[in-house]
Amino acid sequence: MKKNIFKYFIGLFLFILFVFIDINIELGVDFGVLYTLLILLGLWFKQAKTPIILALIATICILIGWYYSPNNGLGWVTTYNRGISIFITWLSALIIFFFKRKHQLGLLKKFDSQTNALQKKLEKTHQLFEEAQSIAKIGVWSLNNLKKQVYWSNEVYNIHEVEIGTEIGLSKAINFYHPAYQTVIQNAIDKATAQQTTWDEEAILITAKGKEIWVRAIGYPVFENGELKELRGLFMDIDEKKRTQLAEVENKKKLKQLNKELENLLGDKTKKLEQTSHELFQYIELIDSATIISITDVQGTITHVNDTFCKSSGYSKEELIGQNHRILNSKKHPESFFKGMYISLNKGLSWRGDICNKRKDGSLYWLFTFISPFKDSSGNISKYVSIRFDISRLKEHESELEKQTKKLELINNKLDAVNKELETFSYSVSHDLKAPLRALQGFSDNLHKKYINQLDDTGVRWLTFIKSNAERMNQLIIDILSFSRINKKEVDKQDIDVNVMVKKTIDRTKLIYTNKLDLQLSELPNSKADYTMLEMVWENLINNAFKYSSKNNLIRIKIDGFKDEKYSYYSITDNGTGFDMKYYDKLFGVFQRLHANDEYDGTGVGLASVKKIIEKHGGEIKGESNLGKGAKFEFKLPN
Amino acid sequence: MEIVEILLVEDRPEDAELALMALKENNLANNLKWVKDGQEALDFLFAENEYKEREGIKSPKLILLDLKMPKVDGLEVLRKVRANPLTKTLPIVVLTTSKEEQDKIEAYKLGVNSYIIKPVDFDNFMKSVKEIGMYWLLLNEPPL
Repeated sequence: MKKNIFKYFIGLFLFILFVFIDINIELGVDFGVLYTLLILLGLWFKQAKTPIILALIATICILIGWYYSPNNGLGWVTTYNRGISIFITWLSALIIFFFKRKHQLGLLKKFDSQTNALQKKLEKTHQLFEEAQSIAKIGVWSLNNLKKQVYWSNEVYNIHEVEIGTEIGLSKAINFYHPAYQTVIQNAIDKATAQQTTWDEEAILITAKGKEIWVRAIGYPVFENGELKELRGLFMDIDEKKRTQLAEVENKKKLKQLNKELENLLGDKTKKLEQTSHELFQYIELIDSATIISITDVQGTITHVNDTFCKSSGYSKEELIGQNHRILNSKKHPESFFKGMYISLNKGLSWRGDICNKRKDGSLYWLFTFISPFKDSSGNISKYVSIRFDISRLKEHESELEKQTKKLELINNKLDAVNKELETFSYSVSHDLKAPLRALQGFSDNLHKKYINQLDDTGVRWLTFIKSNAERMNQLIIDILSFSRINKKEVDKQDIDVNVMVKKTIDRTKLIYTNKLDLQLSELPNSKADYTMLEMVWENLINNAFKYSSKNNLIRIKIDGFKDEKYSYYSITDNGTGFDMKYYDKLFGVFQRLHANDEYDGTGVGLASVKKIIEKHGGEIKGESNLGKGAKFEFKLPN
Repeated sequence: MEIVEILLVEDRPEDAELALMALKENNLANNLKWVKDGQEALDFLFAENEYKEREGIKSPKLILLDLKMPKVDGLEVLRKVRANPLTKTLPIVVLTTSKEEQDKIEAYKLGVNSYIIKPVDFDNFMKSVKEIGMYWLLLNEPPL
């Protein structure tokens, strides 16, 4: 400014001087040159058009000079001179003008190209800047405080997913933020505006496309001449980083949670383990106190024994550890016995058996032994553990049992022999008795026939005694024989049609009885039995039924039967005199009678035989009765 | 009601008659009662059933007891008689065919006074019975 004023001042001074000179001094021809000189001032001035202006002023001054300057010379010379001066003035002005113009143009060009270059540089810089922003995802923004204009760099637009160049206002910019954060940002802006603070906030932004991303907004106020010009700042997409961070926090939280859960779980497990372990200890204690335990290494050297072992073997722990089990060898077992054991164990299999050991004092004892190889974590056998129980008593019992069994066998044999003897005996005796009996019966019969009329009452009575006793003897002999025969005979089971057998027997028996007969015979199942023996059963039962009912007018006999998978069942009921259930235990007794001989004949062998036969077949028989109302006998035979 | 001095408990009439004959020969059979089985013997001694009227009458001086009888056998009679304070001391002579050691031991355990095995031959039988009668009815002092 100052320079300019100085220039103008000089210029003006010179012009005034020259005019003064011109007016006052006769310059003559050379005069125009002065004003030309003034044109040269134009060079001093920057503007190209200055010489023109100077030329104009100079022309005016020349003209003024022409008018007012003292004429010296010829009139036409002055005009001529002045004219030339004007001409030269304007010439030089124009020359300077064009020269300056060119220079200016040149400068302009230079300036232009410089500007272009700068612009290009600027553009490039701008581009790089934008690129940098894009790469770093950092945008720049500014908010003009006065005009409330918002400027966003490209990156800010990108982050907002808004078309680059869209006009953005402050409220619109704030509205991009998630509702929860809008207040924060607004407050920050207000505070910055009011209190010149900066802010650095992380917030959630909802882009134009609806994407929610984390952003970091940094803002600071910019002042010019003490006044707030604008707010400026950075805008960063920190979504990835933030989410990672949040995720990390979340993960840390989860980890903490997991840790806590793990701790709890561990605590529980530890507790359970403790419980289990405690229980295990109790088991171990129990086993240790109840059984004999020893552990050997793979070579068979004893590494551990429990107290029970020591007590049972008579050796102390010191005497046993380091030794082989051989010191307990009783020599009762052959070598092959132990060999088999070692082979089994070496294979990794458990072995069990009874071993006879020798105590320190030389006495022998038996152990039920269970040996198991224990493997280490790599699967190799590391030791052998054995549990044993003292079974000496058992072994004693075993040998006792053997002895007893042998004895029993002997006794059985003896019994068989005795039975055989008895059979032979009873056979021969009864056989031999038959002859005299025959004579007795025969002659007493004949005596009765021939001499009955010559006997008095007593005589008749005594003769009757003789005959009946002879007959009784006869029957007894028969019964003894048949009873003994049941014992001897083998059961020869066949499939028997019981209906046929029963009918035959009834037909035979009823011949002896004159009573009226009511016979109720149902369909009877077959029996699997010995024919002769079964016949004896039915004979006896049917005979009894008739015999004990014979005092009635009407003999009523009912025979039933049915069959299931296992047995055939039969029953025979009569309406006879029955028997007193009080004496039931004598019912099937040998030679046991529940009725007097004069009431009902019988040797007491019938039911005994029946029972023996049925039981020999694997069946059962039972009887029941109401005294005076009849008897019922039921039996079953297995199929 | 007649006084019974001897109660003969015997199921076989033959044996009963023989015994009777032996006792008669020695005039010991005048007051003899014959019962055919154990139940009747008990009824007689304890005045039950058909012998109700005997209530209060003096018990016999001697009981000749057979063992092998149907229904209530001799040992049962013996047991019941010895169990009852009224009849506990009655002289009982078992007269039986049984040679079973067991029967003898049981009878003595139950407190029988004498155990006689019936001789098989008639003569000896008659003699034994006579001797029994003589001893127990004439020589022996009855308790009651």
